[in-house]
Amino acid sequence: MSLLARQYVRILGVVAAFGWLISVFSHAAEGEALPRIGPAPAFTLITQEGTRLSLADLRGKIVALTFIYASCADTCPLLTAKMAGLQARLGTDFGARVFFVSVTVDPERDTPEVLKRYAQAHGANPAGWAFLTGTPAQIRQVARHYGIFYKKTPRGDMDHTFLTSLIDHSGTLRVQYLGVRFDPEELLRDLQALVREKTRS
Amino acid sequence: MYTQRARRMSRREFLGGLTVMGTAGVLGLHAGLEAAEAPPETTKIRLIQVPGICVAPQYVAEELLKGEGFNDVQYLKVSTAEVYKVIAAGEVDISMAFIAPFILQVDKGIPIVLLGGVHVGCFELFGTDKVRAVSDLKGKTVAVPELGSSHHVFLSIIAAHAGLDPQKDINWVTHPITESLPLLTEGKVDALIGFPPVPQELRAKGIGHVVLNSGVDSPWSQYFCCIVGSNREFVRAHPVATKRALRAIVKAANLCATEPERAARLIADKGYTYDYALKTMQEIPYNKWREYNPEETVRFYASRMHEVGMIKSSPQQIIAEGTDWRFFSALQKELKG
Repeated sequence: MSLLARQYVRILGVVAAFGWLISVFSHAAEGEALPRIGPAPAFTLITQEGTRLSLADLRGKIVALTFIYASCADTCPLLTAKMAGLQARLGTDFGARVFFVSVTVDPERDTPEVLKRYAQAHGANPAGWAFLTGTPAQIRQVARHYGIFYKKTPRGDMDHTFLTSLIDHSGTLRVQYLGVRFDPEELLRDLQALVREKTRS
Repeated sequence: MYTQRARRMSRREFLGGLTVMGTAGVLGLHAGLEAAEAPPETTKIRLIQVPGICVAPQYVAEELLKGEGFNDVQYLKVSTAEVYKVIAAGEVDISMAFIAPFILQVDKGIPIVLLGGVHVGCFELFGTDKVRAVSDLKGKTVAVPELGSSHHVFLSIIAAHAGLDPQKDINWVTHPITESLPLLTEGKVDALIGFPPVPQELRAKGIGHVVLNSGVDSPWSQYFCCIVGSNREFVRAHPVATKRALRAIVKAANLCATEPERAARLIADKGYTYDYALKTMQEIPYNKWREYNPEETVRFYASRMHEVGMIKSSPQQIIAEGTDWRFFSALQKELKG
């Protein structure tokens, strides 16, 4: 290798190392990137407005997906209230870059009209939050794909698990929050991190 | 000459690597796990069902396992001592169990691989008035279900940690756990160690008193108690199924903590007593699995076992030959809450 070539390699190495260090420090400052679990399972369901909505329609936005049902008296309202509180915190990103989707696990009772009333009662801004229903078979499939378990109790309530899934702008499932006791600040940070990631891309 | 050449190549490789990393960093490109999560390689999964309910998450996980693509979820009823044998034999694919006997199996070269931790302490040592501390076990009679069972192995480790020689200093007697409870009441045995629902039942009936609670007392409370193990061949041939099954179990662990009544109902459906199941859900910190390090747990237990001659392998050998944390590490990041 000639002297000039060796000099070139050295300079390239220094530049590369510098870039790598900047990258490492910037990511350390932002926190570790969220994992990529895999493609988020697709679905097409009916919104509270009676229109069809597919996950694919939301491509380009960050999606927070929850499962609830309207007549749930105990835990679902806590989750919905937690999500509702994040709408304002997201500012102009809400609706434009971040979209909430709540799928009912009680499709027999939760018609679009019922879900619309539920959304209004919880202060959900329809510009960035859709409440979805479908046939029992469709709902069962979506819930199953996202790891939700539910069944009707003898009292007629729905016994179901809680899992909030964050899906990035490319349709990749990134992280899932178990239960409803998670820290909303952490969820907000993750949503904002995914928005920044989209902006960078 | 060879060394010189090797050194020159290393530098090139190093610079080349730096160039790739640096360029990627500048451009904001980062390698990620982009691959799709495929369906499990098998739709059948076999777990164990033991008399204990500290492994509740794997009972609660049944529907979650179905959601992960396992249409055929089977539970094989075995005694606690048989757990490790059936996993090693490939009769069960994956299961939670107390860590120490898993380490014994790995030490023997049995093809078991540890995948991740689920919860810390569930064992409790109960004694009569004659036993106030672990050191009081010297010369006493202690009931265990079987020699080599989780109970026997764990109490041996605890006794050795307290300076006793578990083989010489303790008079071990074997009785099924249900028969041990009246023996403790009558003072025919001085102590017994039990895992849920036994401690809950002893407390409810006012039998004996707690000498040591592995969920509270250090150092035991600092490490996982029950850990998920699998047959090595199953993991090798079914990596996706392994991760999916592990995910269902840790998700179920959170469910046990956050919705104890529901979890207790599901456990009662499998034939256990609802009240004891509920107590267990409320007492064991099932939602802490993301906070503990399974490798440190293996190192801790393997060190204790190596010190007292229970295993020949070093802790590092046990970790190298009997653990695979990649799925658990991924799940610790993928699941929050």
